[in-house]
Amino acid sequence: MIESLLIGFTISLSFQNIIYCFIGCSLGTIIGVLPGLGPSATIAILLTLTYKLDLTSSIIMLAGIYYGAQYGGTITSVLLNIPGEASTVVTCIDGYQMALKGRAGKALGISVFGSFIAGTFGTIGLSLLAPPLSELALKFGPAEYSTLMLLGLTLVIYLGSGPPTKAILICFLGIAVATIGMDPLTAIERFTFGSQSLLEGVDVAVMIMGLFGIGEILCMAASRELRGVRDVIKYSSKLRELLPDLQDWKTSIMPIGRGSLLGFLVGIIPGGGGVLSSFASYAMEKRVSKHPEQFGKGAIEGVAGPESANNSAVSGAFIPLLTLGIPTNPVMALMLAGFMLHGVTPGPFIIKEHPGVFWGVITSMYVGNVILFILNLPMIRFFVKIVEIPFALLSPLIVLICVIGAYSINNNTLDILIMLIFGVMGFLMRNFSYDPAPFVLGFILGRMIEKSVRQALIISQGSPLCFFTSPISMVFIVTTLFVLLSPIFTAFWKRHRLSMVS
Amino acid sequence: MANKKDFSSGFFLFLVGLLFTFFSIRHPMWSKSGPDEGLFPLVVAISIMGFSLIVVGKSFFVAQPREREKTSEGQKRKIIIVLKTPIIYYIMLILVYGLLLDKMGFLITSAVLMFPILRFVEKESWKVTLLVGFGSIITSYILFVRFLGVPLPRGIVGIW
Repeated sequence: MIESLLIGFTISLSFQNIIYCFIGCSLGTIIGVLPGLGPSATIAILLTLTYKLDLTSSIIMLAGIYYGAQYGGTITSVLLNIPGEASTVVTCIDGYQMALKGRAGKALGISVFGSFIAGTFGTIGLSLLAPPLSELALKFGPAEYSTLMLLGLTLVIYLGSGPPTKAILICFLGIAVATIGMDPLTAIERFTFGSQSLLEGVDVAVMIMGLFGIGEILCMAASRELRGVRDVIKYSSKLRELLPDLQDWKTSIMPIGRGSLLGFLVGIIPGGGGVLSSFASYAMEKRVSKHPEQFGKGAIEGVAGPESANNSAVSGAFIPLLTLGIPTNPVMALMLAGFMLHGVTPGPFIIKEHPGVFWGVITSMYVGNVILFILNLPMIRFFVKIVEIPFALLSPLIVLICVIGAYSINNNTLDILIMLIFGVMGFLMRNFSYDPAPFVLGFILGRMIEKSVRQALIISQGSPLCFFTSPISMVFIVTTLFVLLSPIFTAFWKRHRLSMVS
Repeated sequence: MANKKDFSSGFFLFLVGLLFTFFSIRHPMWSKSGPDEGLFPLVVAISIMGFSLIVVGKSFFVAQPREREKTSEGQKRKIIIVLKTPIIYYIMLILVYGLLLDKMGFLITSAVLMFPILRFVEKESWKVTLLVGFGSIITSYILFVRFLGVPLPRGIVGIW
């Protein structure tokens, strides 16, 4: 493995890839600083720009955007009480309180150190776990893949925001949209209404650019609150004052360690990712703390733990994508689209068929963490200035990049109109309280599920028993049922306990 | 009183499911070798209808958010505000961009998109509009056409 890592480092440390990693990390941090525009939207917008790059460079840049956004989101959470990212919402609680007490520099400093330690931990975990998992993935057939993807969708719905019924409904809608185009097995047209452009189905990048890019712009255009600029808390940008002192380190080192481990494990779970890991870490830190009453009043553990967790989760989320080819959140779905744009499907064979890509991407995360560490400490003051860019100037530029990006995928103006439809859908989803994440994963996994389910049924000559005879798929089915039925069991148990008490 | 947002969205998605069902049943469902191309979309469409009915049903039991409880006059005012918001202009201008790009070419269509957004939707001064408008169009031209080699349409005018 050391040999493979060395090969990876020779790729990721090439001048070209360091530059792309730097661009990705900087863009991610800038985007993370801007409230509203998340990594999904940014990656969707920039996906088409990576067309001309080679696969490794483009994935390195996209991954840089993802973990850069986690760093950047913290800055506005601490200084403005506006989470730049959903995964830094929890940082607002104690980070902003620390800022009000004149400890903004310490909060930002510990989050940078915590993120660096957690990011490095996550990347080491990814390097160690990904190869054995891809060996295991070789034992997967269509039945195992079908049940695993079913479990993935169930977890996304269960762990996602909003009511599960709405999440399931919107997930099915995503699967329905995925059936547009040629049938994956027989190549017969479905729901194309004679349009040649729809034969290949709706393009993932066009859909995501619309749903997240244009959808976000429409939402921000509708919301007057986000259009203004808020007051920034004054703080010193001297490097010495950003560094946590010995007492801060003593208080934070264990939360950073726990957050790193928890974030990594949550990141691997489909539907997990930065948001869930940061909330889970905050809850855990509050529970294990000797002074839980200080949480919400500026406890440094409330910043160190969640910030470490959300960065570690980024590395964890790469494991199912690289070993099984299954995205666990919308950003990973975009990464998958990035791979597919270059004709490579991630999965168990990627290590053997594209070792340079696999190890190059993994080692680039080490490089990316160092870049972000160097970038974030001295440049926090500069990044804060980005918040002051008015929406009025930013939004037309984003719209222009989106329309050109959508057109350039197939050189077809119909894609611009399809993107607009998804943009309106994204806007309506947010307004009618539907989380777009299950839609995206339903869309991405829908095609895969249909193909796997039908292949499994064809192999078993139409017998659905094939899903229950394999031990691996049985494990996934039992876990899926457990996840689905757990709210009923919890409600029953609560009622039972209440009746016992009364 | 039903939660109007859930009711209307659930009902709309029920119709979408119904439409998908209608088009799914036109395809064969099962053959000797196993499931055919119509079965999976049909199952998905029926699931959409089922879950949308649950959302509609639940909307009668979920309380209407307080902020949404408004008089008919208030609702009418809200509709006018929504129509006045920049959303409609953004949608219309992107639609126009999609329809004109092939005929008018990249540069003219981009100007048609950027200048009205900056000047009339975002209410920027003429100076800022021209500066940001030209700046972003030229930058994106260099990035996409020169650097990335994207063949953007020249249109009937014959310029980019």
